[in-house]
Amino acid sequence: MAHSQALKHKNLLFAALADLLRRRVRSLVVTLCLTAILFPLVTALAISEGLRFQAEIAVREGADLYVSADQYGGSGAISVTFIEKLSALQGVSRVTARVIGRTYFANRVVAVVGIDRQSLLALKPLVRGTPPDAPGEVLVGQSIAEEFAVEPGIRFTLASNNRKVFKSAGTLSRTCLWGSDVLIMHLEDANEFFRINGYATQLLLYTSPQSTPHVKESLYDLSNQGRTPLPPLQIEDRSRIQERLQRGYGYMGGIFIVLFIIGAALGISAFFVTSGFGLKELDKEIGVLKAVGWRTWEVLEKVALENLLISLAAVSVSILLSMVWIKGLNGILIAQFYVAEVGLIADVDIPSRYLPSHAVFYLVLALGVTLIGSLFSTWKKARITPSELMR
Amino acid sequence: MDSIIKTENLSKWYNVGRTDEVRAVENISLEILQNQGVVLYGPSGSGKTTLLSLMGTIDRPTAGKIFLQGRDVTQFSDLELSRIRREMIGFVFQSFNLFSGLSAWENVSYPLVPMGVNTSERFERAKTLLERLGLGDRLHHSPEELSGGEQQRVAIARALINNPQILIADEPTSNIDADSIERLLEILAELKTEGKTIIVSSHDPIFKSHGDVLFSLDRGRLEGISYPSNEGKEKE
Repeated sequence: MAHSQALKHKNLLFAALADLLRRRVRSLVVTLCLTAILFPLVTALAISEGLRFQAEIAVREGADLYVSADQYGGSGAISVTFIEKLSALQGVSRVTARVIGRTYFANRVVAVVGIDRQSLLALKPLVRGTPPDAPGEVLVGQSIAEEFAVEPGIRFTLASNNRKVFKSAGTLSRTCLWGSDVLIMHLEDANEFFRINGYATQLLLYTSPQSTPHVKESLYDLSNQGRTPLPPLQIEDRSRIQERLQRGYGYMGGIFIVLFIIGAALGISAFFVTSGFGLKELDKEIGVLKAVGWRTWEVLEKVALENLLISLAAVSVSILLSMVWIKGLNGILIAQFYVAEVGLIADVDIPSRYLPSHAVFYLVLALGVTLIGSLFSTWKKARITPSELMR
Repeated sequence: MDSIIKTENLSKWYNVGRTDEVRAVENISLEILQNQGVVLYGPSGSGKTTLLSLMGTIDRPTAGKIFLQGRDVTQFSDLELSRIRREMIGFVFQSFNLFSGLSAWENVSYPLVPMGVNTSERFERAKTLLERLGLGDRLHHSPEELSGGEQQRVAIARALINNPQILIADEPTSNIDADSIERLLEILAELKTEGKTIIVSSHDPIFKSHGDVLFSLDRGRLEGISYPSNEGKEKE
């Protein structure tokens, strides 16, 4: 009995496939329409996931704790003299300082990042040219370098402090999305530029495994009990940054999905209305199937399997098309939803990532769309007498 | 012989209560016995196809009752009617209603698809029937590649694939040539000798001399019953 049931479902699957092939023009049109609906979503989520993945790697590879001074409830500069004191805490393996600020390069807002020599050298694989070595040398973000033709060796000044002259040592690679609008320099150069010698916007603490909570607690203790000259501190740990990252991308993805669903719903309604999807021929076929002894649920199963096959085809085509769109056309028109200040054509390599769970989501969505379009109407038709359907 | 189909005051109306109401079948009571050859005879619009559809359970009556082997099927569920169509009745439609793009054997075996019959058995059963109906060399041809007479024989094979007790054919001579009509009559006679009940609707006078019982219909009403195989026993 079970064998016969399995054979029945297999027969229905092959019958569904054969029906799709014999109505190949219709099948192709439906698959393409579904692909047109799915493709923007697949591409957008692949970019979103790629960005999230890159950001997560950055966070994972970064420090365990980010410490700054608390100023009026916000983050303020912290003296680099505390590096020594913080390094002495049990569980802390390394402490570095960094300065992050903003300025103008010509009329464009850019981020200025000052880091220590060791961190600069670690950027070497991402640099075209050389990492900054001598004082005043700067790594220029790829987007700035392209817009203002900043080749290695070119000297320039920046708004806010035009007495400080910088020299381009190299540019960041196109794959470095976070480095598009950034100038990276020695910590001391950033201090000089922002006229905050001896201070950093953050101290980065690297801790030994499992000791982050303990170190964090020690920092709060020291800061609150006044046992050392530490000021009140703002402390961020990696897990909170990761959490914020997830929420941020979830929010962006959510906005896109809401917009997508509204657009897709309008598109699908328009599609069904304009294409006269009733198709008299299909109605007649349902009537014939019922007349030769097929049961209603068998007709429905065949239709559902046709939808499943069409959905599988549309999802596969959408994913392939999306890969071509992102790798070949750099996510044109869609990347700008996710990457700030990216124009119609992005000047950095847009990252992407395809997850199996997303493929399942697309399949469910595609099935939902096709089933709404066909299963209910088929069910209604299958309950009409065969004679009426064939008339 | 036992009764296989019986109708009591059977009526089928369309657009009930509207100005364009049509009474396609009106108050028909008849009885068909097992292994009878039955002809529903009458002009276009006389209600033949509607009566066939009702007896073949592919339509539901507006009023009256239909008994199949003594069971009242009028109130049967959709599922029960599907079972009856699958096990008991084979239907040959006037325009054949074959699936274009499928081969002759695939069309014939299509009713077996949801029954868990494997492909090789489906092929063998379809092949046996098609060979018997003289289409052994047309197994892999699609309906578009077949003549009207050949398409009709494919439709007959499909109706017979589940070995039903009753074969219903709606206007079987309307879409085929004279040679094919001869062949059709032979096939129907052969099936009857095997014990099947054959019910045919037609306005073709050729059927006036065939069959055991001829029900004459006009404007949805049963006008008369005759017995072509027992000449002289006609009764009004």
